[in-house]
Amino acid sequence: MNHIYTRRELLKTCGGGMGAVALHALLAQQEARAADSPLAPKQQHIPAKAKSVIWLFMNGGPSQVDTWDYKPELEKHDGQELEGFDKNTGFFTGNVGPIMKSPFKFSQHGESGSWVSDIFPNMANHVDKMAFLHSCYTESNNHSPALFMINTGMKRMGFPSVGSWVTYGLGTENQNLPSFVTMSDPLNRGLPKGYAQNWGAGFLPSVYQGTWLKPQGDPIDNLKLPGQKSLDQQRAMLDALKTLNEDHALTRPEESDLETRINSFELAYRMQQAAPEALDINKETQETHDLYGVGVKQCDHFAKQCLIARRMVERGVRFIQIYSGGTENARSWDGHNSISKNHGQFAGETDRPIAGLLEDLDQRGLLDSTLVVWGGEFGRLSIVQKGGTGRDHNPHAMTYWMAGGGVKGGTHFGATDEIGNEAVENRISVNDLHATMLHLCGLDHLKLTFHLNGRDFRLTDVAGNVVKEIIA
Amino acid sequence: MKTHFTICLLVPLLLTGLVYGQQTAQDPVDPAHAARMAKSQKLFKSTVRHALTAHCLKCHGGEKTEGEFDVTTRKLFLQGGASGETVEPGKAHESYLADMLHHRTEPAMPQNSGKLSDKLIASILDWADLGAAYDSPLIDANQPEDAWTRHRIDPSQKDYWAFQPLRAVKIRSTLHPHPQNPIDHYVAAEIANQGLHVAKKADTQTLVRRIFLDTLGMPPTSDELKTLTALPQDEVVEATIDYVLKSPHYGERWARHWLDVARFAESHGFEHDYDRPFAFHYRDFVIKALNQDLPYSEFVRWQLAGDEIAPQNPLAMMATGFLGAGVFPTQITANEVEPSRYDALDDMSSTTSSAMLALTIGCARCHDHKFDPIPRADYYRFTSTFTTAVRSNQEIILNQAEIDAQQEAFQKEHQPYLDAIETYEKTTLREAFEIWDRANPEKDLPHWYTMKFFDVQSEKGSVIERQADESFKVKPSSAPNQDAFTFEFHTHLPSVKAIRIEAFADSTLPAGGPGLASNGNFQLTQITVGAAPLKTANNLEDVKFSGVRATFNQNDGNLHSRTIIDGNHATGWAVDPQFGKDHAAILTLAEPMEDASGHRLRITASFNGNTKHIMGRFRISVSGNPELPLLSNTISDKVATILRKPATQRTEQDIQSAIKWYRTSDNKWKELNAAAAEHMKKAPSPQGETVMIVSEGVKPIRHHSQGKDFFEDFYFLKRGDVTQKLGKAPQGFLQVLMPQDDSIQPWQQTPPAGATTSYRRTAMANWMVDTKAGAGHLLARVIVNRLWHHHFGQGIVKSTNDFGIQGQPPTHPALLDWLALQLIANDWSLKHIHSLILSSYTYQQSSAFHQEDALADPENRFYWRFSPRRLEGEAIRDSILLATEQLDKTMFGKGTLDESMRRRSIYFTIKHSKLIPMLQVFDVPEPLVSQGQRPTTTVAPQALLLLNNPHLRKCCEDSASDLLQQGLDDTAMIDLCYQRSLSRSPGNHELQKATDFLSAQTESYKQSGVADAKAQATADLIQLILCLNEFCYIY
Repeated sequence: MNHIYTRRELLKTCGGGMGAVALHALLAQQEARAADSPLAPKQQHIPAKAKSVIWLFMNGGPSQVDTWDYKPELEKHDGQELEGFDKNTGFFTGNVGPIMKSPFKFSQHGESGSWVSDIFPNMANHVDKMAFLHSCYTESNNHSPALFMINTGMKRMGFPSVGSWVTYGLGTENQNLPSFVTMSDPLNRGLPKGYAQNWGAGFLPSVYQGTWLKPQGDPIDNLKLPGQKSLDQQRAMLDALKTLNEDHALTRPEESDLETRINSFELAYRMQQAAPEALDINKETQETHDLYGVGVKQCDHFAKQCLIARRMVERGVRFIQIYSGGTENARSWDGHNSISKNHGQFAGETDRPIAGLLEDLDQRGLLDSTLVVWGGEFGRLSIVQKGGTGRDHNPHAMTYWMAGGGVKGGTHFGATDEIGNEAVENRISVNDLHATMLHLCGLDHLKLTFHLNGRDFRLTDVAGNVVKEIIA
Repeated sequence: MKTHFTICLLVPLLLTGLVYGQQTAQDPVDPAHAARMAKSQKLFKSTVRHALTAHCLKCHGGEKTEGEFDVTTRKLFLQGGASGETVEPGKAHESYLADMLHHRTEPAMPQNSGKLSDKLIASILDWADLGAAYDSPLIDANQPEDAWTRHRIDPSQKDYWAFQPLRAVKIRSTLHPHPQNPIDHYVAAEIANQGLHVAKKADTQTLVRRIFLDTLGMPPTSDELKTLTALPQDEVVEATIDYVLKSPHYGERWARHWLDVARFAESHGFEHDYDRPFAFHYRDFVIKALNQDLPYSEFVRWQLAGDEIAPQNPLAMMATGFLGAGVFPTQITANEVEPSRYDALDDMSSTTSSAMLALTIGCARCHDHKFDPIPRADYYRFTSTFTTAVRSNQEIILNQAEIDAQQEAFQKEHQPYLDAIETYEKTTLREAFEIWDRANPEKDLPHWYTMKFFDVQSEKGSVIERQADESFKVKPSSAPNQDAFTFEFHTHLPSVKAIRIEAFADSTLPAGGPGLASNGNFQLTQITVGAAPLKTANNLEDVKFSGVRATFNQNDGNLHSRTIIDGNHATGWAVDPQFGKDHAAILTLAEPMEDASGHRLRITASFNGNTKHIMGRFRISVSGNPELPLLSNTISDKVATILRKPATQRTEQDIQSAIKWYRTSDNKWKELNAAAAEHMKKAPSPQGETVMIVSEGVKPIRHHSQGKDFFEDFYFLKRGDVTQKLGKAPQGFLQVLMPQDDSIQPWQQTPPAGATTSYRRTAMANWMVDTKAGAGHLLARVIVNRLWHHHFGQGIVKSTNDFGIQGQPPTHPALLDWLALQLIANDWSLKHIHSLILSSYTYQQSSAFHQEDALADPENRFYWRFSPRRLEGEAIRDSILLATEQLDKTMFGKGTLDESMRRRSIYFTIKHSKLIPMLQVFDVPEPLVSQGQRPTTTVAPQALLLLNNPHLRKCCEDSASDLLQQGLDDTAMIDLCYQRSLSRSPGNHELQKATDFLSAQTESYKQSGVADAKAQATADLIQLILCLNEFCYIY
């Protein structure tokens, strides 16, 4: 194990106020233990700034031309047929309408002069932290394959998600908390299509799968003591267990995994306290709550999730994904019927919390080491979906932005055509996007492999180029 | 002058026989240039062609042309790419290409693999420097683009060990100090080679527990332990081996290993993850097959083609679930229909080759296999086997033999009822008829006449059967939700004034009928009648009615019988709630039909109401008297004629017909029939169960697809892309496992007459198990290695799912072949192999550690001891249930997702989106691709689960209360807990610790006011023992 602990990491792991001797002893103990753990921190392939990732997943497919990809030409062509349009592009092949302008106003913000839709008044203040990737495209016009594509690099089901690859590659810095956490919509609007496959470990060992914080009931399984047991009574049980286990291990001193397993019970004991503590946003000041919009009806749920994400990043959690919106249609960013209503609503749910998160991370000096990613599974068409004022799915264009974690803020890379319907300049595939995310985390997408059934698998399959232009 | 010059130059060119690239004879040629080009070409042939082909061609001119730079020909190479940079001979070492190759600039080349050696880079650049000569293009432009579809492997590629026939290698039998069977000789040879030592034998107590945990996935119960250890010491181990191999838990344990290999799951996955509620039968097949020791060759054949090989055997049908266990999208847009189907076929063929042959052919979908000699052509030809195979839910009678026996027994019981009727008909009934006949010379016959029947048509294809009483019965399973029936009749009745439709109650109909709706209702929405005199050729004329009356009307409005002639299909006659009894409606004609010759009638009865509101059994009759009672008897024209004849003129056949009619109004006959019918209800009815199978020509399980479920043909695809088809792929197998001739004819079987399947899968199944010319030898190697892997924690070939060149070679090739030969020679009996392994000294060695051997062989690849290992997730959970005596031993059937279930873990339903967290945390893999090995991790969530999981805690609490009820003292109780969990008694020290813990913990609970302090403390103790390392390791 080559990992060197920083003082901050150590204090984070141990809690403050410990003597130097105790710290040293603990460090040694931890190193011995961590070396055996599949989640032990591992060396980066390349030096990089990002230690954690927060992926704000706008589930359902947010429209690029109504958010970050300003297209004045779209307004000019409003109502005209889009010539040469392939009706199989979207999902509803019989509902092809004419070009539709955005119902939202755009204005320029920040020193970068970035154009932002007026549904994001708060995020607009942070454009200089963001690098925009306007020319992303994916390979499916259907939610589930597109979700698998963006989350695992393959349209098919069953491959490890980005978070699993990252924790497989880097391990985690806080063994007391899950390394990869996902949060889904808490307003009973369902899970993204394909459910847990979106944060699954695929063929990687299951320790790398995302821990889903259940929105109802206990967020994590088995943290609560069973029955009427007190912590003291459990401690007594663990002490007896430890003694008996150690007696047994003495008869087999060479079997190192016995020791690992003895330690895992101690780790579990600490996790019982560490995880609820990390999730407890009541420990935050009113000012912080206000910054995120906690308590504001429209965005309270997402604000709490963003705040939890920051607390997790602070505590060394490696990868966090938060889904805005539920299964599809009106329950998510899937604005088939009305862009103004749908995107208006979901922007309202997320704008202030995300702005608050960026602000908070920045204030606490965490933004540099935290890669924040915003985007969904595909974009939306520049034409109207007949029968309403919404837009159908579009695999050919979507905008992603990244902030913090070594990203060059205020940059815009790649471009769509004049009406924003298709990525045409510096096209960025999902593999490219993933290669870039890995790179920012210090992982070389070509080296991050897992051998299975005669083949070395990669997140980026056989493709992927790092978008160096957005890296500071 | 000019001409002369040209000739002069041509001569040396022709003499040397060199071809100088693009040069024309007109160019002045520098002799030094010619020499450089010759040198360049030599380099090209020796090194550069191969280097360019191996490292550059794929992205630059082969499968794609990255950066518009193409290396296939000299011209293109020198032309350069999109960057505008070119390689100029003479300056190649300073070129952009040189920088990229030396990794001095980005993109560093080759891009997706390491830097080339300095020597190789130098060769390439020298070659370019000298003029970049090509002897021929890297890709033959003249070669058709589908040339690869006919690719033949080089025969030398069969020399690889895994493709070689099995070899019986004689082994010295003097090397092992205590050999118990030939396995030990093979192992001892390597132990000696490696300078290692054979370990001591493990003690009996350890061995019994090891054999149980390993072979059954659970420790022995305290009773089993008592029985086995009571035997003479030298018989215990052998008896244990016999015992576990006969235990039904054996199948449950080893089926789980196979289910990993078969990527078995019970939901479709993808967006909706719909359930496959009938997929569990495959799991049951695997358990049953293993417990029955079905020959492995048959086990394999049935999984590929059980529906063709043994369709009458439910197990063989269930086995085909193997092919359909993979994930499949449930929402498929028009663009995705064909690619999804190719993915599904890929899943079938990849899983088949991984599971059975440990070969990864999936790689060859887009390019020739990088390492193994499996060309793309083989992939497509192998996969085409499954072209028309689809998942389907079919009704299958699972216990036919049982039913046959029961039916035979029943028939014997039923015979007296039939005999009674027969006797009665022959004696008393005939007399009764004759008395009635004589007493009624006027023939007071009923006035409802059934008609001569010609034809009935169902609009939607219901199956209609005419009954002996001239009623019509609609086969319930054939009926759609709505239907209309049109009948053609003749009647000789001269005067028709009314038409009657009777709807009969019938015990075989839902709720006893008379309708097919689930509550027994029907809704006759309309009756139309066309008629014409019989003797004329007139067109049928619509018959008008003046009124309708019925036995019962559901209401006085839209469900009244009068609505059946109102021309409106939204209304109709129904009879809720009067189900289970006969009904009738009489339609009175507005004008009588009169004609001495009789009448032709076409009657259409429509049932356009709610779901299946169709009459199940009904009869149509006519009468000259519209005032008759609704349910009065009918008679046919034919019988009426007979009865009107004088008795003397009747034939015996006439009399029989007459009696058949007469008996329906005879009370005694009715009684006897009712008794027979009542008894018949007790007949064993073959209950079909729905089973998800994979077959052809069956109704596929349909998804939300904007296209077809499958396609009739399968094509070679360029780069795996369905839009780039290169001709149909005929069926084939893997060339490395076939004689030189690539014909599959030896394994093909002509489909029997009427077959709905192609028998392609049967051909594959035959090839797969063929030990003479097919894949049989590899098949045997792969499975014995899997068994070895699970017994020892590692295979003889460590990569159990990859016997290819990327996998690991066998540590004991001769042993592997010996075991495989043993398998084949013993009718592919897996239990024989288990028994050999378990009985070997090698297996029975102690797990004690030896520093010296460990240094020489840290991974214990050569078996200097038995490697301790942690149990799998299922085995840990099952062992906890067994040790707490909470295990529900019910086998087979539908599984559940409920974690509080107390059956063995194999009976959890495997739903992709709801994998059982308790198992997942212990490394149970996601069932997506074939997996031969599982990782073993140790992480805190496992400890959290054992400490806090409410279901496990409940088991401990239930076990504690059972124990406390037995009234044992603490010592006895602790001893029993140790016996159940660890198969041994506690040592004195342990007993003391446990006793102290129990009393201290009881005290602690008392102090915190817990009512059942002792029970809680006992539960803690039980749980604590289950958390011990000793509990979940096999030593």
